[in-house]
Amino acid sequence: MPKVKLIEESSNEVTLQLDGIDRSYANAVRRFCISEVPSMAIDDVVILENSSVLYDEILAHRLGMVPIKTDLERYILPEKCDCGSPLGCHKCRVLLVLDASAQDKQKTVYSGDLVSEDRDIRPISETIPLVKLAPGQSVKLEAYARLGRGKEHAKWQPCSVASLTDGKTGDSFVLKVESAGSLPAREIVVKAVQILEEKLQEIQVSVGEK
Amino acid sequence: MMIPIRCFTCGSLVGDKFSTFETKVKAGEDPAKVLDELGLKRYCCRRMLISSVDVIDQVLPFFGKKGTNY
Repeated sequence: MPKVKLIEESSNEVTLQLDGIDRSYANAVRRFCISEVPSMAIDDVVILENSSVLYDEILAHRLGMVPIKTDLERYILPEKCDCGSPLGCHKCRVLLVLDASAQDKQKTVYSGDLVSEDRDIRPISETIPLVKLAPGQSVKLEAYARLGRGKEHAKWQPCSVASLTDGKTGDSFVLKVESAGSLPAREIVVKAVQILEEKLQEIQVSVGEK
Repeated sequence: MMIPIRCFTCGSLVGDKFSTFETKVKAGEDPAKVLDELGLKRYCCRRMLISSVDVIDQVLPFFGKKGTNY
């Protein structure tokens, strides 16, 4: 009989003991934590003004790496959305605006300077340096965050560590998942199992078993 | 140019910890201890801070007066 025991839990880390579960199934859950569970990250950036020393591409890439608090209940993956718009709609994307300039002193632009249209969907830390500006330089941009999966780009990977180690007996495993911050560790595991379940059902349907 | 936002290897957030690390180490604290305090336990994340040099600080003094920079 499969059994799951919670060994340790904090908001960003969860350790589970899995008993009576196939190694391949346990490993599938681990891999799904990394590559299938969606999370929020900035994907499209419209640069209106950039006189900083960083190129537009580098700035956009830095924005993409910023972990963003994710709500999987309220937002859906753009490919599952029926809006068909390249920049998405209110169900599949969040707009964040950045408008910063240095007047007569050098200034560091932080992730906290991003103004989100949704209060709950914002960077998990306010103090991530994005760029430094010399006096007179300014950055003005619109960034569109959307849900994506780790298999598409590592910025959408919700966990930093997902490891599966052997337990005490032959069919016992220890699954350790550490969140990168956008989702609580527990939610990542639960969602991974859910997605795996959905995929297995799809297979059953396509081979005509259901 | 600037401190990377995430660890190259594991993807955990390191960008917001660099300024604390820099000021504390420059004040004479033991880097290993500072990294422990910041909660960076894997060596992949620790090397991100240890090996980072903010080259942008060396470049910025050459930019400045309004209208002259590009």
